[in-house]
Amino acid sequence: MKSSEVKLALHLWNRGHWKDYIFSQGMLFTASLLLVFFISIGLGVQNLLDRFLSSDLPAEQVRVTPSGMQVGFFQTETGGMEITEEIKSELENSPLVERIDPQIYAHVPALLRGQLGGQPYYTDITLEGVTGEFLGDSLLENINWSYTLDDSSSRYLPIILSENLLLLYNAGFAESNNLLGLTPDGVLGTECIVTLGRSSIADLDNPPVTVRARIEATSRNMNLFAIGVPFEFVDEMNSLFLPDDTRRFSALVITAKRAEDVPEIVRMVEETGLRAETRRGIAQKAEILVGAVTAALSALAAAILLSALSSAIHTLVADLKNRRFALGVLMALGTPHDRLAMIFAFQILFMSFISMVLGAVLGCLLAWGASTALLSLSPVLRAAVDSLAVFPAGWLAAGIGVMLAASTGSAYIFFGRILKTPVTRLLRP
Amino acid sequence: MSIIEARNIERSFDDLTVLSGLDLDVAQGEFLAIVGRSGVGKSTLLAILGTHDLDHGGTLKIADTPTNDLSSGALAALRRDYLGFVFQDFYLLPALTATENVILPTVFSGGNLEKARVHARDILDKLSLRTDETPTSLLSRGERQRVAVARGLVNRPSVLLADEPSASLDEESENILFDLLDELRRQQNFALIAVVHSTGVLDRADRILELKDGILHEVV
Repeated sequence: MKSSEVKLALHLWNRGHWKDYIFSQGMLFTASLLLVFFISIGLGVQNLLDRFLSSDLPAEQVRVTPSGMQVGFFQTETGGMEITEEIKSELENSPLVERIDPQIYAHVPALLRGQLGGQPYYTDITLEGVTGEFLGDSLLENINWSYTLDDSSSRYLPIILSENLLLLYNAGFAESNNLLGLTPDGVLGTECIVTLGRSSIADLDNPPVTVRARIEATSRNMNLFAIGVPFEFVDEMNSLFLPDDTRRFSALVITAKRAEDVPEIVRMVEETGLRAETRRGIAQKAEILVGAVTAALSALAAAILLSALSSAIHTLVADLKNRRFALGVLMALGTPHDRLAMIFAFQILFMSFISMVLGAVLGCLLAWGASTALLSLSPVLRAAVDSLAVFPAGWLAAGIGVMLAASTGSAYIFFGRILKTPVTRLLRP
Repeated sequence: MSIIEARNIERSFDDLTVLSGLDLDVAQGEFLAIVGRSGVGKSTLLAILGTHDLDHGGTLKIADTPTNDLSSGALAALRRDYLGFVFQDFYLLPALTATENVILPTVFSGGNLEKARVHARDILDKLSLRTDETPTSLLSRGERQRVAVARGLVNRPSVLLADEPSASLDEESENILFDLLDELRRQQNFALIAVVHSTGVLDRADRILELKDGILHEVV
């Protein structure tokens, strides 16, 4: 059959049915659009929550912190247990423990100054000394994490910034002061000045020490107001300014020999009165919220998918039902089944595919537009994620494929039944 | 040689036997008129001869081809190549124009569309039908009947099966229609099997068969 003949056949076939046909294709288009839109935005929201709630802690690590609560720039002791050298040694001697990476607070008041978006800023900070293992091997390749005061003339003090502090800055400070939101990637390389021995609220007898610093990494495992610096530098500053103070650890990161031993190590830690955090523990807390949101989004997506699917099937089948008589006439006049199947294939399969792909493309564009609009309205969101719309090509293709297969499959089954129906019955009013 | 050969045709609907052991031979170019009381099974017989109704007993040959075991594709080809139909209720597609309805079988069967168009216009002209863009839903019953006749003839069938083709026509239109059918029959030598009531039409028939008690009786 020539293309001009196919065109004429389709033209005649659809005469008087264009509205129904366009409506049925419109249903498929809308169904596909909604499906893609909600999957993209749903996954984006899930990503966002994940970002807010997740931890970098590997499965085989336990983070031990004092039972006191941090309520300001300094650790506030509320009668809880401190992490002492004795406890650290005790834990180190356990056969389940592979390694312990300690973190210590600088007991020295400190001040951070710099320029942000062309404006000067300063803030009191707490320095927390962490070992290179805290950064992980991939970061250590690029960062020289050993630093003492002697290095201050030739090198920047490397800094790890808490991502939670960034979120707090974005949500609480930047937004209300019309300042730029900051992203974890965006702050890398930012230079600043760190002064030790002096802050806006405290001053020690010794002359303050000032060093140039640069943000080299961000982490979700830092204490909220702490800025991570090399362990030996904090040790050095504590000794310099407060030589009589005993060393206290702000945290211990215990690496178990096996991930299965983590629960036992947690039990040991909790017996000492300290707090233990694991990825699982953090994840469990996050899972409750993420799970609720995911369940709601999944239910919404499922409802949309089902209603879109049933609408698509209904409209395609209804369209065919309306054509029973016309099909009967054509069959009665000797039109071969393969010609009718060709029309079906073009009308239903091909055009439905086109409608769904167009719907999916528009769904992607709408999701992208919604994401861009929301991010432009909120620096908090902008700082947390690059986009609120996620486009997992595989999942989207699978979703569209399921819809296409289910709707056109149902239509094909119905079409097959029509072809098998005796002509005399098809022509019956 | 018979273009249609039916042997021992039987057809029942539940407990009602309509055709019982019916035999029929139709020669090429013959005009066979079928008469009978209303509800006696004339339309059923045409549906069987047109291979639309396949739930019958007995054997049916069209152009020497046994139809009983043919696939749906082969049956469609047989209808397209040998048979033309004029249905009692016309079965036109209401949104299409007269010309479009007439060329419909050719469009969907992949025949020569240009030839079909010319032929369609020729037949429609001879039947005094408009070939404009008016959809057939807006035509009168008589006009629609003539469109149905034109559609039955457009593929130059070997057999035209017509169920009361002039039922909605006045006497003059009926004469014009059957004059045209006679003329085309002479030119194309197709057999015409028509269910008719009009005496004027019966006079034109080569044979008149009355369907009674499930079989055909020749009327002299």
